[in-house]
Amino acid sequence: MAAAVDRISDLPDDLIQRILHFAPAREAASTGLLSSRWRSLWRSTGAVNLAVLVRRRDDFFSLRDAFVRSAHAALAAAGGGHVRRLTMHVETERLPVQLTADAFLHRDAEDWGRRHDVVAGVVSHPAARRVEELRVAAVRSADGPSSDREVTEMEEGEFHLSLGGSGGTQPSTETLRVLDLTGCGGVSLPAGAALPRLTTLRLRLCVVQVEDLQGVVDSAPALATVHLESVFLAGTKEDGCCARLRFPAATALRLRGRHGDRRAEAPIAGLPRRFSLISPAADMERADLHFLHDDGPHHYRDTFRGVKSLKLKVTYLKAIAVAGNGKGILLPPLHGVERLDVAALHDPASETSTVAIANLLRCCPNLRDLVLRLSTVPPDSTKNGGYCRDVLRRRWQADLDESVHRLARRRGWPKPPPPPPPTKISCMNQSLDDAGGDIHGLSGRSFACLRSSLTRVGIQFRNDERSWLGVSLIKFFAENAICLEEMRVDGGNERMRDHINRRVERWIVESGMRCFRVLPLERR
Amino acid sequence: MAAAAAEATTDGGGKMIILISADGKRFEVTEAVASQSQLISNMIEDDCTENGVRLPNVDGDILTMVVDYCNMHAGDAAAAGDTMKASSTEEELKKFDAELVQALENPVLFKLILAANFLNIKSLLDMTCQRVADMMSGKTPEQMRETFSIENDFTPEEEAAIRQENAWAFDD
Repeated sequence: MAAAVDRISDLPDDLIQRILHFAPAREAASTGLLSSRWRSLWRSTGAVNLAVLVRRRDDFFSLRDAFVRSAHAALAAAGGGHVRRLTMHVETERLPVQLTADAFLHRDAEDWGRRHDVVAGVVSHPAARRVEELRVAAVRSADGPSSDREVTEMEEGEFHLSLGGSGGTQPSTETLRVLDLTGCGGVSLPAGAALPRLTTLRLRLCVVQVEDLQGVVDSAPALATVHLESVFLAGTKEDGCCARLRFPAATALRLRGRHGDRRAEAPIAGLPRRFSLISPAADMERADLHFLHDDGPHHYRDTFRGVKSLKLKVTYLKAIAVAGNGKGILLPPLHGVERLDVAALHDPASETSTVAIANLLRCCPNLRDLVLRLSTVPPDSTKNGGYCRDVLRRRWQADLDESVHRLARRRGWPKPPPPPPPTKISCMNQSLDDAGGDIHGLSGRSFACLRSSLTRVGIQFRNDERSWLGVSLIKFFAENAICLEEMRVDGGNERMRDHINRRVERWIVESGMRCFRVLPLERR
Repeated sequence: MAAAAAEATTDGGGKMIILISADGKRFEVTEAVASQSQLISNMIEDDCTENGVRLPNVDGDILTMVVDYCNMHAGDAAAAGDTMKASSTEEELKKFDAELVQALENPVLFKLILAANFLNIKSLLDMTCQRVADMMSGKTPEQMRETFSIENDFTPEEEAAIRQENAWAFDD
């Protein structure tokens, strides 16, 4: 029979230490008072987790001094066994303008020379010299339900991080495995420094110079996982100079921007006009990319060479349709891609959406599973079940993007491009039988994947009179994908979804076509 | 079409193995799912999973949770599964994980920690330990003793000495 474990005290010491490894430093240290067994367990957990919540009513400056004192005391106490994990979470409520996370982390908010830099003071502590996992977050909590960590963990705050400086006053770059920064305003690494063990880099709500980021990536030959979310890449010239980011060893790459208010459409933020991502790692299996603007050609040559499963999110589907003017995202041949999931807005008045779909089919000759998620309304105006949380999150998100751009403006960085004009609406009636006719760019063309590999197709669209494309696509794939086994359809709300599926099934039978399954499509 | 379907099963899952809990419950899982446990992964390499894997340290109700967790996270660890659906999104996983540990009573949570440790599933061990650490967060030593049923065996003098030693952790 399994061992009886009813209380925490029934766990062995090493598991209790593992628990304390994740506990906040104060609470971990105070467990020394629980009982004689606990007296010194907390001293050798290999971790120091610092957290502070700055509330509006707190005495700002004495709270900061207390935080700095206890941070250093915690590090000193843990110094015996060296600190492998150091986390620091500074969360501020909405404070009066002059008292921000900025001011909390620097003694003089106006002083960009960063005298009395709290973050630098903590990470340069001798006990943290051989840190492996470094996570620093400066976030602003929203005035919503503070128990919901997910929604409160947003917002600005600013600190700079220097790694591996001379004289050994910064954390060593030799041992670092995980670097996770939120609200960081810059990372610097001395020339020639190496990050031989760094495998994971995660940046959220950060503003970094492109060359600094590239410097980190280039110094980290083992960097396999890169996650950039709402990162403003600064320092790129606007004069058409092509900015490049290369991820030589990345096997998992995740780039995400955020929908913003209407004025700010560029939140993977402020990508330079011409931007390319290069990752020649042959074993990158999955990529998940989210583009929020399309005002310049994007080159992804060699990025996806080994990728089998590709998720793309683009603001406008037509961005993938590379027209003669050289605009849009230029997709390379994607011979390896077997699963492709695309989410995009399409403009019903324009025929370029279908050219974009043709491009995708052409680029992916070995495609087996295709999902197209098309919407005709801007994502941030979608009514989404009315969950309060969603609505709130969106509101905070708008604030967030606003602040990223405010930050950018303050520093004189290029403004995001203006929002695209509202789409024109064409009224078109549709039904499966009279949705015939040619689809621009698709009809009459031959695609390798339709002839030999495509077995599953999923189509999501809003079934209203504006969107003839969904129905036309169902018909196109039904007639042209020779090995089709399964079609998954989502035509809007639940009721409509069943309705569409039944109609498609009936139509298949009536038209005497090969048989394939028709199923509802899972949403993502 | 039938051939294609059969092929799909092999692609996504591979061989099945049986896990047997302390109280004799049997769970059939794919090798890909089970090998998130480093212990079982090693056994698969050594080819000793033929007659089922007996786990005398793990009760059936705990193993149910472990298997659920591994099924949910299989898409992460293994190369992408057969369908888009199989590879759950990051958000879905986060939600699943939060719900899994949030609802647990103390003894169950500690048993899950022991099971994750025994089976050597690092992500599950980290997540469950993190959950207990979160329960400590914001609590005074007295409150912690109450939450975790810990008996105080210090004399008042000893207690005062420890408070003195680490005053930074106790001042408000």
